[in-house]
Amino acid sequence: MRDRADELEVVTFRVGAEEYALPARELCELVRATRLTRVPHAPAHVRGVVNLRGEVTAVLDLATRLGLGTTELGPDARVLVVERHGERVGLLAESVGRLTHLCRDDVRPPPPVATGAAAASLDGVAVVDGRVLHFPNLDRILAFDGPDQATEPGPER
Amino acid sequence: MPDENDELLQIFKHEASELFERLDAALLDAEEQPGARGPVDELMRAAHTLKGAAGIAGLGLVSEVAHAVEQMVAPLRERTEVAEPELCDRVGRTLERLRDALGRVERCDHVPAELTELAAELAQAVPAAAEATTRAAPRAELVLGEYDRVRLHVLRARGQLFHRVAVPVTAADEPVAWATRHIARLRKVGTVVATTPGASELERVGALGELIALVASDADATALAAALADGGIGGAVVTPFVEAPAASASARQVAVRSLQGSEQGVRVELGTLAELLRLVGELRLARDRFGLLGERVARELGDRETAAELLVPATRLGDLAVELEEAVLGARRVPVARALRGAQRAARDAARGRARAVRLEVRGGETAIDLALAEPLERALADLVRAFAASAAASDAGTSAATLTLEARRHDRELRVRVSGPAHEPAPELVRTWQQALARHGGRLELAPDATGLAAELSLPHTTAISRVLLARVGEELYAWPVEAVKETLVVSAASLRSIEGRPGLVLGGELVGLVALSELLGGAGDGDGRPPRHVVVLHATPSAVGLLVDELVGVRDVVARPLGARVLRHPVLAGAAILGDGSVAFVLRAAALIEQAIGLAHGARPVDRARAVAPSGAP
Repeated sequence: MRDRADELEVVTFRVGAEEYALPARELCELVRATRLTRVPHAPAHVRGVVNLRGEVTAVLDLATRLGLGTTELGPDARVLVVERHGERVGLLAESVGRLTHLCRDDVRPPPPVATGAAAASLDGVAVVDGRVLHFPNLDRILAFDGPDQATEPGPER
Repeated sequence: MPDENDELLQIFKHEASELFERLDAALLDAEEQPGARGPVDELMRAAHTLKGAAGIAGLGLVSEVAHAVEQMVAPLRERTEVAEPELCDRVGRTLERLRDALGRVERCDHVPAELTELAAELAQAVPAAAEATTRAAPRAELVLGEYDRVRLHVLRARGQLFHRVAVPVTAADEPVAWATRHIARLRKVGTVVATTPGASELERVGALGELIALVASDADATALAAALADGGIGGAVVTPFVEAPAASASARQVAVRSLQGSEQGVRVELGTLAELLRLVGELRLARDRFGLLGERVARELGDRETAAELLVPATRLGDLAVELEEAVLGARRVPVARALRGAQRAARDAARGRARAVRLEVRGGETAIDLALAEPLERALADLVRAFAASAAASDAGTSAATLTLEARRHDRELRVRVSGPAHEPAPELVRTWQQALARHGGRLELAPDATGLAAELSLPHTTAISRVLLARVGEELYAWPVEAVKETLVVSAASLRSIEGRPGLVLGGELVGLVALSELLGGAGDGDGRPPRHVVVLHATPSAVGLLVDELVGVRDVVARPLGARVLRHPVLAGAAILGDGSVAFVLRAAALIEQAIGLAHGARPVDRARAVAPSGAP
C-alpha cells in the first residue's frame, strides 16, 4: 500500500494547448473569471484586478506569462488564487479540471528535449493516464519584473 | 497576550506625546515673551514629568535627555542667560530629536542609535546631564508644592499580576488630596505602575470622577479588592489588566480614562478607528447594492412597488453609515492649532536678523482635521509661512511688524487654510514642490495676489479614509478622481473645439484648455467605445489647465479607498482602487500625474516610458 506522504493531490487546469497542475495545498481559492478590471500601464501578463472580498487582487494570464498566447475569458475560465510572500495573486486559466492524486515519484524533471519559454518555468512533468501534466514553478512565474516569456527570446529549438 | 513591556511603552508614548505638546507650546511662549516666568516654569514642569515617566518605563536615556532639557532651561528661570533665542532654538532642536528617537523605540529595552547619540552629545554639552544617569532608574516621583496637581509613578515589580483599579471619588474631595490619599493606599496593596488621569489630565479633572491605576500585585483581583476595602478604599472595581478584552486583543487600547461626570472617554489606537471607517465603507457599499437591486427589480421584473420598498432600507442604511462615519471621524479629529507649531516657529525664525519683525495671527485654530492629515498639514504650513515671513520681513515698508494672517475653516468636505500678508510670490519651482507634496494627500495649493499682498489657499480633504470621487467611464472601465481634484466637467460639441498646436482644445473662462483622451494617457487601457468622446473632466492643474476626454460621466460616489499591491501600483497615475456598489473595481487616478503625462504627451513622450521608469525592481 502506498504511504499518504508519497501522495500528491493536484488541481489540473488548461493553459493554451497544455495541461498544467498545481499541488492543491498551493491553492487558496478558485473563482470564476467573469469581469476583470484592466490595469493601466500594466505588463501584458497582468490581465487585470478582481475584488476578492474587499481585497483588490492582481490576476496574471498564465498563457501570456508562459508565451502561450492569451487566455480567452470564456465561460469555463477560472482564476486560481495562490499566495506568495504574503501577496495573493490570481492565475488565469482557460478551464480547471478535477482533483487528481499522484505519487510524488510520478513528477519528474522536464525532459531535456523540452525547450522553449514555457519549459524554462517548469518544475517538472508527470504522465497520468497518458496525459502530460506540467508543474509550473510559481516563484519564477510570479517573479516581480520577469518579462513576459513571449517577449523574451527562448532557448534555441 | 501582549508583553507587559509593550503595554508600558504604549502608555508612556501616549503620555509623552502630550508632554511634547506642552513643551512645544511652552517653548513658543518662552520665545515670544522673553523674561516671562510662566512659560519657563511650564517647560521645567513638563520636562520633569517626562523625565519621571521615562524612568518608570525603564527608558533611562530618554529620562536622561529630559533631565538635560531641564538643565538647559534652568538658566532662563534664573535669568542668567542672555542669549535666550539661541537657547530656545537649542532646546527646540533637542526636543525634536528626542521625539524622533522616541518614535523609533520599539520596546522599553530597545535603545535606538539616535537616542544614544543625543544623550552622549548632551552629556558633554550639559554636564549635569551625566548625573541623571544614576537617577534614571524608575522610582517614585512625588514632588508636592512644585505642582498644583499630583502624579505618582512607582516602579513596577516584574512578574507580578497587573490590575486595573477604578476608584470612585466623592464630590467633597480636593484633587490633590484625593490623588495623594488614594495612591498612597494603593501603594500599600501593590505597586502603582501608572495612573489615569495623567499629569495634564489631572489639571483638567475636577473633584468628580474616578482614579484609574495600573497596579502590580501578588494578590489576585478578589484579594486586592478586599485589601483595598480594608485600607479604606470602598467601591473600587478591580479587573485583571492584561486580560481585559481591548488590552489583550492587541494592546490597542492604550489607556482608559474616566473624567468628571459625563465626560467619559476611551483612547483608541488610530488603526482601530481606520478599521471602523472601513466598516462604514462596507455599509455604504451595502446601501449601493440595495439601490442597484432596486433598479434591477424595476427594470427586469417591472415591479416598481417592490423597488420603491427596497429604497427604504437602503436609505436607512445610508443614513446610519453617515451618522457612524461622523461619529468615528469625530474621534479622529484634532484641532488645526495642533498643526501650527511649525508655522509659528517658521515665522519667527524667518524674521530673525531681518529689519522687520513678523507676527502670525491665527484664526480658526479650533477647526478640526483628521489626525492622519495633521502632519502633512503642519509641514505644508511651516514651508508656506516660512516663505511668506521671509518675504515680509525683507520688505522695507517701515519698521513696524508685518502681520501674516492664517485662517482655517471647513468648506464642505475640505479643510481650507488661507495664509495672507505682505509677501512676494515664491519661486515657481518651490510652489510646485509644495503642491506635489500636498497632492500626495489629496490636497492642493493655489496662490494669488490679494489686498494684503499675497494669499495662499491650501486645501486638504477632511479625512483620508473615505473619498468622494467622480466616476467616469472609458470603454468598459470606470475611473475615479477625488472630487477635490476636479475643477469642472463639461459636455463638448465639435463646434466648440479649437486646435492648440495641432491638438484639440477649448476655450474655458477665457483660458485655453488642452484636451487629451484619457484612454491615451492610460496606455490604451479602457479604450473608448468607438464614438468620439464628448465629456470632459477638467482637473485642477498647474501650470496649465488640462481637460480629459472620457466616454461618460457616471456621477459622484463615496468610496472606501483600497490599497494596491506593488504588482499593480506601478505607475504614478494610479493612486489606489475603489470598490463600487456592484463589487467591481475602479482605479482612482492621480490628477497631478495625469496632467504631467498629458503635458509629456503633447511634447512627444510615450506615457508608458514613465511606467517603466517607476516599476519596482527585484523579487518581492
